Amino acid sequence: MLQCIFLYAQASQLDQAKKALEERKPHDAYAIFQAIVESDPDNFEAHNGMAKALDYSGDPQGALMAYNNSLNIQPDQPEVWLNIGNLYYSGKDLNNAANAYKKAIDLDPQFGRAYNNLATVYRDEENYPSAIEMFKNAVESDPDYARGYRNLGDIYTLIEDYENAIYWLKKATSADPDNLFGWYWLGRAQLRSGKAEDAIQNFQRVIKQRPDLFQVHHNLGEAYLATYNFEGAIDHMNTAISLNPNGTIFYVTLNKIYQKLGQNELAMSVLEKALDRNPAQSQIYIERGDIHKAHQRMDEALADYSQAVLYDPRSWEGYYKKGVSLYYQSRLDEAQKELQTALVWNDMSASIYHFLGLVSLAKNKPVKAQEYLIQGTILDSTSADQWFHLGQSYMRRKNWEDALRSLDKSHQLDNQNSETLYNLGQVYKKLDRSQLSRFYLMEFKKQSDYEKTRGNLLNQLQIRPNDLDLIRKLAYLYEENGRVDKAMVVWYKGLYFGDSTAVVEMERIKGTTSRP
Amino acid sequence: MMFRFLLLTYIFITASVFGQGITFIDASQKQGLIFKHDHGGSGMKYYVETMGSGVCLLDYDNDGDLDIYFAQGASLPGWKGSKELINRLFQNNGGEWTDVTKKAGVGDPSYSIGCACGDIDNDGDIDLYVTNFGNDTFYRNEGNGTFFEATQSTGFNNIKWGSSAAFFDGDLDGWLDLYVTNYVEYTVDKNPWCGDQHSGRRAYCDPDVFQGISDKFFHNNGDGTFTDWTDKSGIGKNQGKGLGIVPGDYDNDGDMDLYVANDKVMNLLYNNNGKAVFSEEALFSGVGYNENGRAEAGMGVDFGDINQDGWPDLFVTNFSGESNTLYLNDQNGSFTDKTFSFGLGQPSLDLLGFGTKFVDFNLDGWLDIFIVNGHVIDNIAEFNKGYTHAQKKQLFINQTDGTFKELENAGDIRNKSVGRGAAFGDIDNDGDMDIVISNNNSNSNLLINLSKPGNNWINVELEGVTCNRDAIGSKLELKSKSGTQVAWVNPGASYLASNDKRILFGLSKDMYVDNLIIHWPDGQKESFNNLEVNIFYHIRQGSGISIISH
Repeated sequence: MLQCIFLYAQASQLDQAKKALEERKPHDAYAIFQAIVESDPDNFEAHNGMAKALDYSGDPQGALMAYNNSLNIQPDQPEVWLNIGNLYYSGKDLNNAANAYKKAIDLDPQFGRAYNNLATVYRDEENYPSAIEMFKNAVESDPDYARGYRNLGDIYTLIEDYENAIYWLKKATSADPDNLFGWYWLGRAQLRSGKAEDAIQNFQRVIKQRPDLFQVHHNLGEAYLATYNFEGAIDHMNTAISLNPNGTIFYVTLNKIYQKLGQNELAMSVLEKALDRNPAQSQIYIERGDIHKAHQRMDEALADYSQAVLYDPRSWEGYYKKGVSLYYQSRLDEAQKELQTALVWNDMSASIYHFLGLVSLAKNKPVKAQEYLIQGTILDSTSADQWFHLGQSYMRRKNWEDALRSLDKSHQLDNQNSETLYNLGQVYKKLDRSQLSRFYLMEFKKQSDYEKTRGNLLNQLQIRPNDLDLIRKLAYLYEENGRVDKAMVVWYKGLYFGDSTAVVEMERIKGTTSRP
Repeated sequence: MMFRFLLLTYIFITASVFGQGITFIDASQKQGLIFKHDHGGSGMKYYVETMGSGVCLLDYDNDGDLDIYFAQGASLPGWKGSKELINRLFQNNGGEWTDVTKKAGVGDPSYSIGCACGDIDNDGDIDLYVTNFGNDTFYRNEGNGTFFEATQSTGFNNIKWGSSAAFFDGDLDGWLDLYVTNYVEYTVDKNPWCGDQHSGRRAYCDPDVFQGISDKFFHNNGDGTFTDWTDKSGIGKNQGKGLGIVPGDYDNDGDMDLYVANDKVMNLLYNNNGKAVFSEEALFSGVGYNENGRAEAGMGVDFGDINQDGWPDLFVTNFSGESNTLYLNDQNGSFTDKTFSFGLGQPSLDLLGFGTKFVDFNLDGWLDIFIVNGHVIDNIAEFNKGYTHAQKKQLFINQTDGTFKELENAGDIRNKSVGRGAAFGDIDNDGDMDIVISNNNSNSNLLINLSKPGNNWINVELEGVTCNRDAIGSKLELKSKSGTQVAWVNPGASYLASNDKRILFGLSKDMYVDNLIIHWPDGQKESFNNLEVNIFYHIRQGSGISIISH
């Protein structure tokens, strides 16, 4: 009888303690759990409660000890191992966290959350294949586990496998249609995969319920930009800024939209506004420097890049851009110094090696140039320009065979790179293959003439960005040279600036109407 | 006397301080060669203001020394100046200069750009062609110290914006023809606003803003008149933005080909079939673009054999941010851009080159390179502090090992100016090459070479009899102990200029010339042996060699 009364009293104490935990009163809860443990040292539930209370009160070590006490009494507790894993994970001890999650899974092979959390550890370790496998286990163990689907979608987005990302995020939204994260993440994956129209729908769904989410406005603006709805893009970017005037990225994107439209003064004013709020934004200076550089205001560009590295001394981009500007001003020694500083902060950027190679070429140091450019091509084997310059460094050394290999690679990556075409012509000439030489030189001439015309139009558009006649000429030039996608973009710009012929021309290009 | 003393003191100081042996002094003020170019502008940034002007070296009075002709600008809308803007001819009086413009009748009041000289009627005196922004002008030398303005009667009708011009015998008929480069379609009443809208800073426009036009080729009929052969010669097919012209036999087939430097569009290489019909070969010959396949802003040009292989190489001056370009002759009709490996790339990147010439300044038998620089945008420092409007001149010494090295200190070439046209010749007849430079909207320079490097030389003047009298296009092969040198009579080179037509060979320490072969343009060949050094020679076709004393 007494035993019965004791158990009843203990159960009541446990309920009381759990309630205190739920109410986030860890100290009260701890006192009750401790009382239970004093009277019943083998009560593993009370040990678990103590652990949670300690965790809530910011004592992870104490929490770990309490969980271990609990496991000594009752080893078969997968939930406890999950909690231990979470404690280690919070403390950034990924190794112990993974071991704990694995123990939880050993004890319960259907434990979806343990798989999910183990996957999270793998993701953080950039072990994406294992992370994906574990996320998949999580949702297989628990087909209703929406978070697992979201995480799967997210990791596929992370590794830029957007098809899979969209597949799993759609499952997440089916499993939990009320979770806005699912729709938002789905929209992001769609945007990045080029399905901007779909993304717009999903972002709008989120904004309808949460119009205060500035990040979603930002992404919606990006999606509109991807569909060349410049007005929509500007509108949502402005909303994002009004909701969060401290969001640097919003100013950056809005500036980029204006730049795409050739509205450089507006772009500048956006950046000025950002700096008015906070003059210590490195990225804003970089953006402003880019505009100056594009307009040949090299001193202003340099001043801005210098500001960028002043406010963020680890900004490799700032040093890199300083180096590039100095290179274009023929200040080669200074350029080299800045680029080498950039390399200190980021030795994985192919672009830095590329420009170090260019500086070396300009200084007539082809061997050094070759070293830099080889490193650059290792880091980024997809840059036609970089392969071209590597080829050029071989040419300087009269190593025609290696030059040809590099130029061929460049040509494979971009068969419209005029520099490559020209130099293929030169190398084949050196190799006494005159027919091939002439072929490439003629290809070069066509491309070069086209680029010249395009360059002239673009230069004029810098001065008169909304000159519809120039816009039309550019669109026709792109189309005549097979650059239909670019022609379409230009027509969208024309549309923004009120060209009534743009819609007709776009329909014609899409093939829905015949050429006038 | 005092001046001579000061001069010697100066030479001593510079030679001992810099120890390079090559020293120039700007003698324009001292010798009274006062010419100030005026671009006629008023701040409206009329595009034409940036180009000029040119200068020519010619012995107009046949007294054995070189006289100087300067092209002058003219008033543009809004110009506030009051002085008379006409071209000027200065007579060389052995270290003093007399303005004989009016007397000679060559004071063209047009907006002049450049000039070219040649004896078009083979009468033994040199005639003068002036390129203008508008109608060009031709002055026929009357042989008595005066010229007769004979543009229309001679058949010249270039009404476009002419820039450089050069006389040469295109069809080898013994009479000098004329090539005139034309720049762009431009009128002052359509002067677009260019510059940086963001800051409101106005600047001169980029050539891309304007449409290029075709050059002109005039065939000499042999009767004192010319016929426009622009289309017949094949020249008219191309629309460039011509600034520099140099004739030269790049394929060593005995006729003069042409190279045209264009501004930001492909340069042109015209291969001559010997009958003044030209095929354009720049793309396939590798001289249309730089090594990146980029059309550069070509200005001044010259042909010369820099590596003593007997084939003319090519040099072009370009814009700031671009290097000047050296094309080495591959001896098979093709050239290779060797700018950077010859050490000429980096030193030229922040300068804007105009007049240029291959000249053996240190008389070691190897051609050096002289470059006159100056930006076209007068307020360039507002856009880019790294650049200046006035710029230094550059002398690159041939190291004879496939590289050049800039000679930093050679007297007054260090002085900055807004250089444009430069004409090269032995102005003081002392056996080395001097330079006269026309600076945009400012005073000219007369750079007298005061070097005493101790090397030997010979100077050769040719006189054609069955070929054109100036013997332009003749090839000279000189053999001496140090080796063989090849040179061509070719006064038309540099930028908006005409140079001394005599050939100066540096001979290092060689005590005599073993052999000198003249390949006359009409195919005749003459050979001369055992020539003494440090002498001016005159060779009349078929009549032997004589010594000229100055």
